[in-house]
Amino acid sequence: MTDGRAPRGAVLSVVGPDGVGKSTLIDAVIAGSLDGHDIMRIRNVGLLPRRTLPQVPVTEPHKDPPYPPLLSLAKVAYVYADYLLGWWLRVRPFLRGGGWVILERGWWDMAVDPTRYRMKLPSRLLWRLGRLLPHPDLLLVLEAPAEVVLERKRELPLEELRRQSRVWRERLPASQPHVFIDASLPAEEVLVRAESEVRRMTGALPATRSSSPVNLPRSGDPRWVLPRNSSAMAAGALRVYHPVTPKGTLGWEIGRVAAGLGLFGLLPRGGAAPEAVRAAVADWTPPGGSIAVARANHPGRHVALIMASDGSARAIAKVASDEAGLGALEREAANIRELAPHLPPPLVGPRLLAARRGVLVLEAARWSPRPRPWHLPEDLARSLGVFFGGDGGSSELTGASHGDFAPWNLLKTGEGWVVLDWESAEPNGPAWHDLWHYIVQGHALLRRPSASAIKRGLEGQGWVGAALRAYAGGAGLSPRGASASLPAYLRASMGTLDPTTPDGRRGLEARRKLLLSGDD
Amino acid sequence: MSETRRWVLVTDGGHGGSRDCVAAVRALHAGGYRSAVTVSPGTSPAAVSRYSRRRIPVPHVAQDGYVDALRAELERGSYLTVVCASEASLRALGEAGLHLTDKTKLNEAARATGIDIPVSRTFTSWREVLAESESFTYPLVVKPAVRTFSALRVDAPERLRALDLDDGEIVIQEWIEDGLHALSGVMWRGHLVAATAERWLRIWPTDCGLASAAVTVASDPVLEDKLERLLEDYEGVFCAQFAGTRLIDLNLRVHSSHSLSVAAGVNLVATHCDLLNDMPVPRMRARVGFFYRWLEGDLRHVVQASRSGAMSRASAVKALLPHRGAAHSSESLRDPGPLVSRLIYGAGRVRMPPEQRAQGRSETG
Repeated sequence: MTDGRAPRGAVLSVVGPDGVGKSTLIDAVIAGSLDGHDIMRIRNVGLLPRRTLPQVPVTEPHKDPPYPPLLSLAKVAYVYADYLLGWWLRVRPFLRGGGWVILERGWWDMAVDPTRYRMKLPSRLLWRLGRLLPHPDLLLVLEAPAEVVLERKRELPLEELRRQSRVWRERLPASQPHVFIDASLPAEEVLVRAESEVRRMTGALPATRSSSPVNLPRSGDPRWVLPRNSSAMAAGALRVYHPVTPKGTLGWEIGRVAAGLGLFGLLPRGGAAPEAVRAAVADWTPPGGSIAVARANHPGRHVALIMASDGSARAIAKVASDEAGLGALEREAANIRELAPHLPPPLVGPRLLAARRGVLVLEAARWSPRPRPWHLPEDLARSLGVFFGGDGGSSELTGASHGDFAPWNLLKTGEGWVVLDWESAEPNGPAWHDLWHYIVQGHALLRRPSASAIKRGLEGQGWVGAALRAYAGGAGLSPRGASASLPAYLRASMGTLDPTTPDGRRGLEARRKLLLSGDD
Repeated sequence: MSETRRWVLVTDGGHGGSRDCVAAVRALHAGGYRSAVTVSPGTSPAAVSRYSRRRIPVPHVAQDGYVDALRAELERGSYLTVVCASEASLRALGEAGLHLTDKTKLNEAARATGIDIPVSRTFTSWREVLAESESFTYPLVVKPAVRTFSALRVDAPERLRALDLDDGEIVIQEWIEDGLHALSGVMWRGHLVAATAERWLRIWPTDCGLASAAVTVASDPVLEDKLERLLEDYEGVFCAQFAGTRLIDLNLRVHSSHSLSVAAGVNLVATHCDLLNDMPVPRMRARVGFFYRWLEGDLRHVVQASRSGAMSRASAVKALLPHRGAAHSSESLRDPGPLVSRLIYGAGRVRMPPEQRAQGRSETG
């Protein structure tokens, strides 16, 4: 599931107060576990010129007075821009070649001890800015009791050493992988601990920096995990999301343009897709390919878009780990085999490529977003009616029903309209259910059609009226039955909604009001 | 399209503009129902929420003919139900579960279902209370067994003797310092269908008052079970109030802080109407963290607490800071009538002599 390039290097940063043994440790690590690697050992990531100081040991790091606030701010801006520039133009190319960058101090050191850098700024600003910078892969924070450090180098007062030690513990963000090492231990033990952490970090790294995925949203449990091995793959990965609202469609289009331009490479590295999902789809992932994963609303369920190395979609996999999810996938597979083939054109069911316990693999459809997804064209409504009534039409009250025919489960493709999510389908569903479900779900969650448009539709007006007639025609039902079937659908579907979810609440409220609007 | 009924008759037995009545009308509107409000003669049109579609003149609840007029209106219109927004109207209509509005009977029933109650003594008359005044532990709370006046905190025997209360059954309860909280809900066929648990942050009046600031919290399932048993024969909206673990009051009607339930996603009045309409209603619990403020009460609480030194100035300012998305009592820019009416009334009271002011308070309290 990687693009097969050489393993990349990493950025290792070592920090801690003077006298704690940073240089000694770096020398030992380079000579030890990193022996044979290309090493770039730096104190400053940047490229821009800096005032050079005589190369003498620092004995009083706080002796120079800090700059006034404005000048401090200007210095921070300069150093920040320089850090970014250096990271992209110097560090990244070196990492791509498999090299290791060893950084002594770095940005966090400035945030902990701004006085050393002659800054007179709130440290909160420096911490905030630091969070936006690319982070080292591992930060080794060497710490020791202040008395021990003081004994080694008498540079900073005891109180200041204690403060710094406390700040390192309290302020480092969770997004920066870090480990604290007791530097008061013998040097050999410190080295063993540091090398063990470096090995652990190396094992957890993706094969290439560019193959590390993007998590959206960045904080908390991400909804999407998107690969960015290449611009094409990043853009293709966004097809794991099917936008149905104008805002969603706009964001999706902007995201695709940004991904195509390679801008996803600027986003911070996120966590990998869940191991269970990766394992479930491994057999269908082509060499050099990757997967984009979307978390479903139910815990433990995911949708994975399987892509080739050029970013083209190969398949869609639905993965479930919970008992209810396993049952839902089994039902869906059975319904796709037995009921979906009866859909008349232009509606078609998805092509089932494979079904195993906990995973369902479907052929990926090449869909395009619809500007008005809540609108159900007449020919589709007729097909839905034919699906319900069977070939000869039906005078029965029950027939084939998809069960969850909603705007987001209908994809427009060049070859027809693909209907997804078959887990609720049944051969003996109630008449009108699919049609009302489509209209009411759109009304509840997309705010279209409006309640008055639905009411006008019951009087035969507008596209809702046309869809009702077309469905009735296809199913062999009387259009007059639509009016009586709506309250029955509303009441029945209210029992299936979960009031603890925002969508469930909106769905319930919309149905209540539609029921009540009948009293006008 | 359906057989549902949308019209609901709301009555507080008075001017139709009490906070409870306004809360009921607004909640019905939010839930898609239409309300007709009963108003007694002389009511200012501004006092009633603009969301009430009809105003039905009826005699005051204390006068003869109130119940007959109400029944006549119910027969005339196609109402789904009548929502009582005051204890007086509830009693006048003889709604089910009324025995629980009697504190003595409520205490017995609560004890039987395992709900803690404050240490209480019931007296048949005020004279009897005065005769025993030296034997009580102070501070204490004086309540009518059946609500005719608001509960009072009394700190000393001489304060108790200075009170001039109507004769009738009186309950003397221990004073409890524990935090106040409430659980409002809808009972239906023996089940607590919908519920909102709220913690009261401040109350007005500061001793024995109603929530002036509250926040929704997670509901306690054990307490829910006990209340379900207590109210198993009752169907409708209720609000049970607690001091710590002890039940101190139970209202079998819509409560003034009902807007908090609506904001937290559980419209209790509309849910009860849905159930009467035979609509499917899932089990609902209010989302936590929603804030409620009764602006007038909260201002008065904070000013009094600040003046008495119970609250620092900084705390007072912090307490009054606006909360985004807060639910309010009768204060609303979209429905300003009740607030304007209250302001006019308040301005009028400033000019009143103190004796008349005290009388006015008991009428509106």
